[in-house]
Amino acid sequence: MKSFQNIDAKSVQQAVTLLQKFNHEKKSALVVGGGSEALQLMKDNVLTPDYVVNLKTIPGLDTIREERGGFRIGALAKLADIEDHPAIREKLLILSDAAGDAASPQIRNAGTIAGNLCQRPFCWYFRSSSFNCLRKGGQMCYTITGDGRFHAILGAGPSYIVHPSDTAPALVALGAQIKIAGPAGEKTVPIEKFFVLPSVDFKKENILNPGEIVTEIFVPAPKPSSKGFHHKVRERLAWDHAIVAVDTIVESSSGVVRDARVVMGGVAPIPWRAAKAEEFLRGKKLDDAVAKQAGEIALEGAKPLKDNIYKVKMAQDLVQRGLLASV
Amino acid sequence: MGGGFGNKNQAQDYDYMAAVLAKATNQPVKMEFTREDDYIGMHGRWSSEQKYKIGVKKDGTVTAVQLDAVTNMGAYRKQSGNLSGTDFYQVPNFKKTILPVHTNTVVAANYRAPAYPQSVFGYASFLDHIAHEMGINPVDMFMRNRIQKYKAKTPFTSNYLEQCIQEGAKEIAWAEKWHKPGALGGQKKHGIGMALGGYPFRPGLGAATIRVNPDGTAHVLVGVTDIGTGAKSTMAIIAAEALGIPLNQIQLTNGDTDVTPYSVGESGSRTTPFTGPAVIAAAEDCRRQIFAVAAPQLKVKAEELDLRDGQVFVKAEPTQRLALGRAVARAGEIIGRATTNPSFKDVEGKSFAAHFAEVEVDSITGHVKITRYVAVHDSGTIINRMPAESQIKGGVVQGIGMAFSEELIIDKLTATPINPNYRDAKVPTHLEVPDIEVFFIEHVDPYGPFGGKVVGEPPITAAVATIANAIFNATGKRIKELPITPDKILQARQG
Repeated sequence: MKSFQNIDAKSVQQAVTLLQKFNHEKKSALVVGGGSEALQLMKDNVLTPDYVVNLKTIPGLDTIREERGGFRIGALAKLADIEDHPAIREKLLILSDAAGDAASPQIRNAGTIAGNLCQRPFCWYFRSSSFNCLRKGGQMCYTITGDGRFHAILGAGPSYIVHPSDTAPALVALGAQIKIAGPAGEKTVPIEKFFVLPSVDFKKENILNPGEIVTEIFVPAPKPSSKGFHHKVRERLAWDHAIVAVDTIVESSSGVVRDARVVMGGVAPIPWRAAKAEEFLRGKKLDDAVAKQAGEIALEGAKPLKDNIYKVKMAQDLVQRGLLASV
Repeated sequence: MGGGFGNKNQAQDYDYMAAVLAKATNQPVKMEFTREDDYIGMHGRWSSEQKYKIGVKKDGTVTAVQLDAVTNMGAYRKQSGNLSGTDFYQVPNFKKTILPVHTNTVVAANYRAPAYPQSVFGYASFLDHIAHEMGINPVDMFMRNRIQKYKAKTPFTSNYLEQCIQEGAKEIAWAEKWHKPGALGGQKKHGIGMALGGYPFRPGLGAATIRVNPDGTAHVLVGVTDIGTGAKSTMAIIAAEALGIPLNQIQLTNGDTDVTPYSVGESGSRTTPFTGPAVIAAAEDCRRQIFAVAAPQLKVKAEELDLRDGQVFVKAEPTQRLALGRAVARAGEIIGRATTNPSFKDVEGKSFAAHFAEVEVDSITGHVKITRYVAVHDSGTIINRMPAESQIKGGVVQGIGMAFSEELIIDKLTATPINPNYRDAKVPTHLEVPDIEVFFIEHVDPYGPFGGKVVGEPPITAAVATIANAIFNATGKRIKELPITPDKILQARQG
């Protein structure tokens, strides 16, 4: 690992100022919350920052507050705390399930919600120091000629990564908002606008610019008439990324859909919202055939690679299963 | 990956590099590996492509097997590349052609039961499939084609494979649970499967020294290292039993040949059959000397004496006795030693196993959950029960990893491994592993130390095929390539 200088930030403002300064000086800096992801990237020599700005020393960034209409979750709230939070379990079950599906118990005890959302891809070409891939400044995405069994089937190109966050699809389904602090002050954006497709910029996964950090996530509580579903398919039941994940929230009355959110993980470079399927579901009585059709619509336009054709049907079936479990 | 066994039972190139460097610089040299180095620079088990042609009578009896296989040995040859999985099956006419080939991938060499699990996977999958096509219940197929009293014309020292199959089938309730492959509907499909395995048991060179002290304790010195198998306590148990003193009076030093005798190394499931007899012989040497010293004290002849529970006594008059320490005190100390090198003549040794598993296959996600696992083993006398059971469980866990997820994936364009780490080459966690139920068909093997055969390698041999056959029973689709991952299960389903 390359040597670096660690700086314990005392406030969000100080962290932002420092990051801005390093950027100005053309020094590389890495923001660290729980540190599990940063450490791995540095050990694998994927990132070699000159400075590490530690946010853990900023007081109050890890609180979880329930207030009227939803939950304010501090950027440094640990995945384990979200998983075990009684009110979140009661009112945002898909989020607590998604947090509990992330990584391993050890990593959930250290890893933060913002860290989970800002993870770099877990593509094996990106993580290997043997490959200078497109996303690291190289010429090609090795997935195209190589092994893409876990890679994207939707929204991909020129890079075929899948977004690694387990909590992101749940937060998109819940309609969360993300608060970002930066040199120009604070802004709040809908979380689905936070993620960036490779066709827009293949070197980053989200809209954060140098000097910007995530400070909070606001999750509105779903209507009492709605029900959610979360499932993550993986080879290994702990410490493994999603092959396909599905998060749904359906608001219905007597089986008729008023509103639905269908979001998939593991299939695209961003948490993939199946807007057409949502549209299709509105006003329909959610039975097996409608759920099946919604699954097919959700995967319309899928362009699998040679090794991940299986994901298409897996995702279709899982959307169907999720919708049926959401009424 | 290999662990303590495979990677360390042979000298590796970098061992020599370290020695040469140390000599050149006259300084100590430390070898340090990253996880990636370990994956790429060490070795894995050899993969293979196996083609079988099997002749079967109408009743399911196998009459002939032709196996043509290619084994991938990587960049240079370290080991045989053999495939021996048919060892546990009766094959009257057998033609085996194996072509070990070099490739520009990672070198293949020893890993727990080197030539077995991949090979049992091939043969037991095929047998299971023949049973399916002929409408024979797999348990009858395996029972009928199990290896019996003889390997060719040589008799086994003991063979309780039949009882292993019976006991396992009873435990898992095979008769009630088995159904036609792919016959059950529903989202989560139940399956049950089995396979036979084992490992050669043979004696060989062993050495031990035992010092009996004037306080009645004994110090056993053996060269064996304990790589997690319980070898240390097993040697102490054998010494206590052979000497006739309580286990808590035994001290044991092992693995440091500055003070202990030589050991051939802990691999090939040979620790107990090689060094066990040497410990027994060293104990007998001690007893002879103890009786010689004690005889005048008890005023009898040496051959009239026995030693049990730390007491030297007259066999005909057990009340006439002497504490071991007092007897030994006369001699200062007694040192017994032995180097033994027995061999089998006109007999063949093997431990045997029959494994059974029940699984649940999710037809949407391709996820396989093992709901029950029963492992029944014939390893002769079980000398050291807890580690023996743990060995079986550990072997099955490795088999689960091999069946479900463990694979070093090579990028074909660049010939570069893309998952040389614990995150992407997925070793199973507790969540993948059910409560493994271990049973031993105990008996005294006439050739093993205290009747014991081998334990370490047998359990992995049958595990992979057992799980694969259970998946076939659930889905009706045969997956012919390891590891059996969700994508393969779903692709097989989708045709």
